[in-house]
Amino acid sequence: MQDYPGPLSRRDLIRRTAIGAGLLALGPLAQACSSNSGSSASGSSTPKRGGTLSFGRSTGVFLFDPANAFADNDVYTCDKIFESLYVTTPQGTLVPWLVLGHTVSSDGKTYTFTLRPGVKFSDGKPLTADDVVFTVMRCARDTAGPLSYLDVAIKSMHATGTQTVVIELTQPWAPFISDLSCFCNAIIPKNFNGQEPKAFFKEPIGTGPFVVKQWTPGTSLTLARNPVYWQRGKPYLDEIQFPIIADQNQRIIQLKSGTIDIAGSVPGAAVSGLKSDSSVTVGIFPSWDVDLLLMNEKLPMFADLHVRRAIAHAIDRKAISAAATFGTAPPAGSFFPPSVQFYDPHAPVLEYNLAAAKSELSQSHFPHGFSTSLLIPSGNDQYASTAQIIQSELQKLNIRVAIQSLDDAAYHQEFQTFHHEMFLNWSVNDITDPDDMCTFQCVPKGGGSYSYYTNYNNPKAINLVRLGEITQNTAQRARIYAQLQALVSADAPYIPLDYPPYSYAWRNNVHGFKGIPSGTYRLESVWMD
Amino acid sequence: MKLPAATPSAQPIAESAGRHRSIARRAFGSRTFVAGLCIVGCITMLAVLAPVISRYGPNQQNPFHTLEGPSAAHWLGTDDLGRDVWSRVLYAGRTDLFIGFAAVLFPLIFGTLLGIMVGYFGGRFDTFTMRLVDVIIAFPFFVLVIALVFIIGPGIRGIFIAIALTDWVVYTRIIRSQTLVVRELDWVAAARAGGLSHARVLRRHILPNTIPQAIVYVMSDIVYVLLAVVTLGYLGLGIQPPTPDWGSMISEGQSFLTTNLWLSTIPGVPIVLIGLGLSLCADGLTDVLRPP
Amino acid sequence: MSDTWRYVGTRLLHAIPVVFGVTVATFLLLHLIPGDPARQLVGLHASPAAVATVNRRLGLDGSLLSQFRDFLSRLLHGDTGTSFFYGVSTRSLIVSRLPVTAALVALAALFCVVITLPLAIIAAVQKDRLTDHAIRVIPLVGLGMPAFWIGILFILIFSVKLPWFPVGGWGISYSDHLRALILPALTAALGIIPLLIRSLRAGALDVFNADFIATARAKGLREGRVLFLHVTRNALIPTVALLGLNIAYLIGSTVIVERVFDLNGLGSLLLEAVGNRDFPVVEGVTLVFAVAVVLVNLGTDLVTAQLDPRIRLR
Repeated sequence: MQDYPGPLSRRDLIRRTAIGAGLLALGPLAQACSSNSGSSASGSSTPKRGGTLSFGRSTGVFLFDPANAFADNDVYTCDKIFESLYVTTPQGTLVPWLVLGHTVSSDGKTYTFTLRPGVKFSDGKPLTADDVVFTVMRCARDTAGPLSYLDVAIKSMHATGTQTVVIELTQPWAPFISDLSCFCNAIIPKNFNGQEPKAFFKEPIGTGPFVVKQWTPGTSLTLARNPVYWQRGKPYLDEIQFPIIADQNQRIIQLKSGTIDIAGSVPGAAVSGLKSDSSVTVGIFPSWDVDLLLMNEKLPMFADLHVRRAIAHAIDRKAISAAATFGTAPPAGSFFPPSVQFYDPHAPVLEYNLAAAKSELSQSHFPHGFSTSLLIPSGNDQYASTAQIIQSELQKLNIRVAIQSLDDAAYHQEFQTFHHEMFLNWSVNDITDPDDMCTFQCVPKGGGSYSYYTNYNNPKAINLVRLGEITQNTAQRARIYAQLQALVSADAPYIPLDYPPYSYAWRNNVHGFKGIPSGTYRLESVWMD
Repeated sequence: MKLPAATPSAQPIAESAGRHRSIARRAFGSRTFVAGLCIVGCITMLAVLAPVISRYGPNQQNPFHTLEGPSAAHWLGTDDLGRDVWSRVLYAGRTDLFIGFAAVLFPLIFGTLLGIMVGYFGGRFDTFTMRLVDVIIAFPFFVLVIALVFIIGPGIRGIFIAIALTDWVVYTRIIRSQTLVVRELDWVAAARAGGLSHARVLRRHILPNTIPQAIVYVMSDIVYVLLAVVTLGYLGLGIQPPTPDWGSMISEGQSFLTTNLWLSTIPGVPIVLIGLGLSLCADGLTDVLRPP
Repeated sequence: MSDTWRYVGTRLLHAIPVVFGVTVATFLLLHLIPGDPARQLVGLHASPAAVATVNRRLGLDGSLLSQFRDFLSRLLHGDTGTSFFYGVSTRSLIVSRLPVTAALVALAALFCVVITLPLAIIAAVQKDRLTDHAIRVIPLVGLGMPAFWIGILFILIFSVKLPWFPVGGWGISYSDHLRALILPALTAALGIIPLLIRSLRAGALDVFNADFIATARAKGLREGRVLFLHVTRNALIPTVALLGLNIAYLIGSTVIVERVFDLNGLGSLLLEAVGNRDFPVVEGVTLVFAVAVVLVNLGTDLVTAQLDPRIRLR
């Protein structure tokens, strides 16, 4: 079943290995083949047109501005209205979407994009190069934007004619296409179609498969089919409603009773119960996230390498995966999740081994253990369980952990001001290229986050990150990132615990739903019978 | 907090130390009161004896025996980390009953004393205090407690302080109304005319005649405090893990509501029983204090 | 009649400092809570420059005193500000969510009266018999049950196992709305009904002991009518007073009940806004709640005055 529009030729997806994932080097002609992992049983029947889908999610939509949205459901809804030049497939690869492809100059600093012909905004106006230039420069120039740093490599842009966009970079930048594909760079009409930005985003007009039919911010939302969508025949659905169901039990109950058709954010605890319900299908899709135990290296005990390595050896990730995530999140090894480019399945890992843990601790400055605290956000059952498991495991090293559970805003403030000792959080990654994550987690000064608030500062790691950014050759990049993964594993500034998936459940009459590792889902291919 | 009816006893009992004993005797004669006391006593005993009765530690994890139903080895089954539910329920009793009984002390003492003072002296002090009381009562209950716990930080300390700062108002209101009635009585005026100082009048005449109301209310108040702690747990602001507490056990069990119902149901039972017991005590006492 | 109006006027005048006090206290408390609204808005990845820009946009970059002065002057002009998160005026948010909560509280109050009245009077009439004990014990059980727990159980029993009520949400038509509110209103009411039954029963017993009944009987009215007219009317007074006093609790419990039953009212809005550190919304909703409590208390006093000719409004 062809989910993604084929340009001039098809090429099967090369299974993601350290080398093969370099879709960028292979150019824009690769085609993603959709494998039916996680979709419903009757995947081969013909899609039916029509129907209204009810998609229950935990929060409403507050904002339709791609450059300023970052809350999950804002982002996952924005991309139904506005589309990017490249789009991520469920397999985690990039395919050309609003462009036919691109070429790169030999010095790696100039990219030329050819727009796909026939793409229109929902008001009928054609997509032009000027719109692209306007959109990306707007995002790049907005210092207050949550993701504008992704466009930092852009020096200038201009349109040549209506169908060609040329972008000049300040330096060769390997992650560039990934950065460009991020939802923040989704294309909006030039000058907001002549309106004030606020007014425009109240009734947004994009190239996406859906338009906003009714919207009360944070309260209710209905999308309707975009009649001039550039993929003919799609979307299949007439309308999509997004009821807000904050309580996770409610979402499951409403799904089971048929009040809603799809439930988002299905908790791990509910998965086995849903799997045994024959009217419902469960989809567990890999994400770009990694649950991490992070340690504040400004404190003497965590500045000590042997202490960190001891802790890494003392944590049984299999137990956490089984008990805290109910087996839905595989135990972690590398700090790269498997779905991100250049993940190295052979990266050395400090395995669960109590004897090795004790040996490491005895070589440290704290051989008799110490007291510390573990900060978690309240309301997160998985982290509460994980923290308690970690607490009891570290007890064996005489490391006495007190759990500190704060509400979300207080939790963020606590670690962003370095008041924490250890904390649990997941890695932040919005693109398929690993650069974003590596900068955020390994580069204390430039990343803006002090190595994810651990203060990890290893010049070798920093060099590897920088090298990976400017190396264009995929094989070389793979080697660089393999080295980085091994280094971070040995240094253990943070300990990857598990790879959390995105879990959805839908009624059996819903077909074609697939999750994408970025957390979103393409709804133009979804149909109901 | 919920406000009780202000039912001032129409006739304050005469001033004498013997009156206290007669109230106590009459209380124990009330079957309602005794029934309530038995229930409360039983549960408290179980909680106190937790280390002796329970077979496992409350935090003893067992990753191979999670979410099991009741069995011979685990009378109430195990939770999602393999901990014995019966043991956790017992130990939770220690945490919760301690909070329930201890957290009401400050509001009781402070609120009563303040109520007597403002009721007796009146004036601008009275007006200002009652305005403050009105402001606190006007806050939807959870909002104020939630805000305070946010500020002070979750956990036992935050809960204690939040309750201390908000719960005293009801006592002040009750005691003040009662004081207003008692103050006007002839024999009080006579005592003052006879040269008794304010302090003596307050201590020997006003206090004994007003405090029974507070004692009755305290029974219900303990239940409200327990419910507040439980609700804070539901909102993620309660006792920090892994310390067991009935409220957070219910909250944690919520994820398994559709598959393992007992995890959320069972910890609610002792709360309900304590509530029942304390309410019976309060009822019994109210009956006893009612003029015949 | 003019007496009543004067009373209302005085009470309203006294209410103003209370409402003002609540608003000021809310403002102060919000600024004491740890957690940065700007950071919540821009996310983990944002640069310090981005955070500073947003702080300026939200008006959070001045000193506490200057922010307070701005807040007061805005308030005096009737401007409750713009929500940090929703980007729309707080007033429009409150107006759109108010009907749900108002209906919920009203229905819960109705349930309180409708359930309490017959049960309490029967208990009083049957004093010390089995019925009396049964009635007194059963609601006592409800006193100790947390609202969210009762709520979930109700959903499991009455919406999942027996499809009598919707699992949650608000529905589309008015009859949908009513059906959607029944379980939540019952859940909220169950928190107070035990108190009311106790009070009304005690009040009814008081009336039984009094001379009213003897006098009424002497006047020749039939037993049933005596019971209904005099007992109800006089016993109702402390109960209505108690209900009024507890409205603050009822309103506060909407915060939990709306969350459990997935209702988009002011309670869930408040909870969300506190978590988001959406200061204007928290201030606005708390203000509305405070005003509601004051008005209900006033209304309660007027109603009890109507019911009891002995009470003179001062």
